[in-house]
Amino acid sequence: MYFRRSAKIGTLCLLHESLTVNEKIFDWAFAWSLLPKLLDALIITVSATILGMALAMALGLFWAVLRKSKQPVLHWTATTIVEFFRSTPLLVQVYFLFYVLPDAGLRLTPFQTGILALGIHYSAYLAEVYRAGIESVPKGQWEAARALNLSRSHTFKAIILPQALPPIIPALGNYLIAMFKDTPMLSAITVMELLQTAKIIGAETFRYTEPLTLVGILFLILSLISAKMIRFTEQRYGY
Amino acid sequence: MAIETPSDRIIQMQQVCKRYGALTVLEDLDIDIQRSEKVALIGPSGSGKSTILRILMTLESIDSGRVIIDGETLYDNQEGSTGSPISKQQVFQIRSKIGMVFQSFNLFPHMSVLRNITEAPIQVLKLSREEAEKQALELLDRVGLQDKVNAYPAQLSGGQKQRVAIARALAMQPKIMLFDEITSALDPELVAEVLLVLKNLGRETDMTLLMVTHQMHFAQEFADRIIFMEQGTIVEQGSPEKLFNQPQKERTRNFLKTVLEAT
Repeated sequence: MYFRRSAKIGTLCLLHESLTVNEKIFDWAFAWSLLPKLLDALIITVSATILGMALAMALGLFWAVLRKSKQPVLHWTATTIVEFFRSTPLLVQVYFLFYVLPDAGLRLTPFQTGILALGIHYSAYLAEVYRAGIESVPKGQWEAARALNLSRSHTFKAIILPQALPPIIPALGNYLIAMFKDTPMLSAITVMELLQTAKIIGAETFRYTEPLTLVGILFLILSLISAKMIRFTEQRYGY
Repeated sequence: MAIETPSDRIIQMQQVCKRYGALTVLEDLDIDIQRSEKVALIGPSGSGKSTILRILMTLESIDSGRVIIDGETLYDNQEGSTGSPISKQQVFQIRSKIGMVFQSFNLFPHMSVLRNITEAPIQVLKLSREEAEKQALELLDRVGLQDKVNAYPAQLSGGQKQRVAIARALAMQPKIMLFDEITSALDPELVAEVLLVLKNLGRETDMTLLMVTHQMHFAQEFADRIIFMEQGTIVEQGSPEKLFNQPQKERTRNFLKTVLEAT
């Protein structure tokens, strides 16, 4: 009993010594000085998320509509595409677009390529979310619209979709946050988002603790804010 | 194909069969309905009454038989063949003659009462907004709900919802109105207000009205003809007096005895 306690105190002393002997483990002044650079990178990260999500939402809806099509060719094409994007890693897709698109004659900046990759990858998940939303609308709504002779496309646009969207706001929000947290993948293709910027700072200064900690904190703050905003939207538009 | 259609028959169903897998819902059904006739379909649940309305509204297809609505052929299928499908344009044409009110209202919950009634006239009949709204207000007046014009369906009682649904169907200016158990989802004290609307409609209009109902007294009072169905076939039909007072068939007597005792 006595021994154990003294051993514990011993390690604590050692730890304390190492802290004072070495430089400070977290240099607040240094961290503070990094903030402007990281906030610039944060803008890139947030823009990539917003643009990526916009693309994913549009494309996801497109897949969902195609999958509902009565034409077998359209249905199966969309299903195959969705399954393919859902079943392969985002990082592979990011690299693939980055190295293959230029060969195919499509020159995009790394940032644009990143948005495309995020948008396509997440569109596959969102297609499923939309599908669930569309299926949650009672069959009677389609029948009433049909009895009124409304066209299928107008029914979808004006009757079904406005009822399908409110219940899926939470799920869309989850994917927004998930995509936000996936943006560091874009560092693989030299997009100067948060992680890439932190890594470069680390390489230049040999200090990784401050930039990486700040990156974590920035992600945390923005994720929490987004979650709050999503909750608000949900309350506002849900019925 | 030229089909001889006497103009007094607005609905003709001949030898219609409808199956769901092994279950036969309608079997060799023949129904003729005269223009401006008011017909009530009665019978135990599962006898195929609602299916008839859903076929006429083109919400269900048939397996065989022939359906002609106001001189236009909706189906002409021989047993075993798929028949020649009619064009979308023709289906649209036939559907525009028919309005339907559902048991579960099926109002559009995200639209105001006004928009529920004006949406299809603007989109389909190409009425101007002013015309459509003027018509909607007249119809709401007719069903006694002019004060609810800006309400949303969730703010209405079941009876009010069903009256809006009736106004919505009437706004498409159909020749035929189908009522599919429109009081079955209502609390008992709300049934009367919906039936009153229906009664007034029956008095004022020359539309053909076809209703599926469990309200025997109302059917007796309202309809020109009662059709009693069981297991996908017509057992007996005739004027309300005849069917209710002197039913010819044992099955009709049993059914009427059961339902009239219950109410």
